Amino acid sequence: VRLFRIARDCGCLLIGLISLASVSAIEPAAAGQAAADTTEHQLGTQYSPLRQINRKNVGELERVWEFHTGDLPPANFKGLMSFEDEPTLVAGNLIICSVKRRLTALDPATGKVRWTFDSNDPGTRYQKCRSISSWSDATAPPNSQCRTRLFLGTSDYRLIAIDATTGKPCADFGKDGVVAMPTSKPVLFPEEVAAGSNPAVINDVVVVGSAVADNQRVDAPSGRVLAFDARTGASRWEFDPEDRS
Amino acid sequence: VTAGGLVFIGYTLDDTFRAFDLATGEVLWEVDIPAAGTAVPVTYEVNAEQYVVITAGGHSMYESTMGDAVVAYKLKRIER
Repeated sequence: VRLFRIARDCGCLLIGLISLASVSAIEPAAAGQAAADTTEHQLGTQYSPLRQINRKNVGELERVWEFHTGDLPPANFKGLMSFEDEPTLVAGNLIICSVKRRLTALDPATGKVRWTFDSNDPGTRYQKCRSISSWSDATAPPNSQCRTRLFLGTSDYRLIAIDATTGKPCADFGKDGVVAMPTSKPVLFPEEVAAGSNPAVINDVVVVGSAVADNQRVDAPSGRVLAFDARTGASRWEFDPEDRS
Repeated sequence: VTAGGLVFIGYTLDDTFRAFDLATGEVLWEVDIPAAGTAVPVTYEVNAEQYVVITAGGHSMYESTMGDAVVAYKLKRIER
């Protein structure tokens, strides 16, 4: 734990320069090697305590596997697309989020596909996915369905919860694993308000940001932040950063 | 950034993934990837082996090479 606290301090100093998050599929190694979990990396530490690959041997790195999502731009594509996913290692699966917000769980050692999940994202404005979030219900029995779950926002403003081990929707969350998030006023088109970033999970609350389409109308919907119960999907609070009075 | 004294970064317009020496900025390793690595690489350990993984998918606005790849690296030989 001490090692990791030092590590976090280093990470804070280097934010903006660096681009390495640390995740671990396994229990912290006995050799005193601190393992950062996904919660830590999602808090932006951007630092890994792993040191097997180091200055002396980094030249010996070689490719071990390559995976293709299949979500490529069509010929003469004129829209906006960027495959920016930061993979997440959770429950022993390396989760990849494609530009169409389809999730794939890979074996982190071999790159072999374990399951896929299609969010059916309309994705017509800007096709990208930077990452997903995860959360474990400490009160749920071990190995129970959705004890560890993934949260994914969509460009048509849905919040989806699926089981991190199986990729099946969490029946106890929203309606069949989906919360259709309310916008402050009716949207002009399904993606006028989007949940493009990965949600933050703090304690047992999922906090979802929003992206409101620019230059559509003067009186646009609010880009408010919404929060939901991580177990049930019930609304917990909302916050509008702008004073509307 | 890792405890191994390295900075891994894609985020260039060429299709190259690099590792820098954290102390000196020297490029210690670079490799061609299938598209521009416009993403945050991650590292993790499985079965006592450290992996580095980057998404290589490009960015349409920057007109870099587009792709749908995720590529993983580890050491050829692990000293134990």
